[in-house]
Amino acid sequence: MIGAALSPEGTKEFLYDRMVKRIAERPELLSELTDRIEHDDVVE
Amino acid sequence: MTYAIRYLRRAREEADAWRTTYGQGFVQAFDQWLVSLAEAAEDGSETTSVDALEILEQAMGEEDQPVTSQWEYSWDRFKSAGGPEKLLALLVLLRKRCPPWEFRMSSNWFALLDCIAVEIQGYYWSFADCPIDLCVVNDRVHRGSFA
Repeated sequence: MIGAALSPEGTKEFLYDRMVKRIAERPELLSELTDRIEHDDVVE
Repeated sequence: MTYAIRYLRRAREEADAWRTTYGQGFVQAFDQWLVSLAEAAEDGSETTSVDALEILEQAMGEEDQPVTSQWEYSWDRFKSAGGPEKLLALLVLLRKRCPPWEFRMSSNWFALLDCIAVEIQGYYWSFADCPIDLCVVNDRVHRGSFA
């Protein structure tokens, strides 16, 4: 687990980095998120 | 336990595919990760996730420029791919939802073999001070090798 090895501040910085890099590399992720939130049903 | 873990439809389909593909060890670790996110959201100790809306707003910046240094390396590529427009559309949607609704993100690695791991980024929302529903709304798998 991430939090097991990093401080809370380090974890936040790490997650910021992962999220921003992913979005920068793959901007269509943003469209996927928008579409899913708008249109997908919630299932168990 | 007052929370429930639920999925948006396509996220459920993805999670089911991973469970089938990656086997029992992955299934246990993945489900435990979701439980840990739910428990953290429930007791307000969310040290393994971040406010995704805050990051998206920072990334958008105020004058069409990235305020987060991590964007600098690929900002031109991001712009040419229509990234700012996609980002704005998501922000408009998310801003319609008021607190205590929170849109959060977390990431974790799961070992598949000695030299192969899969990283999964989970986007979900949670509600403070009330029963928790988690919805993993997007994940993408990529593999890494360790020397």
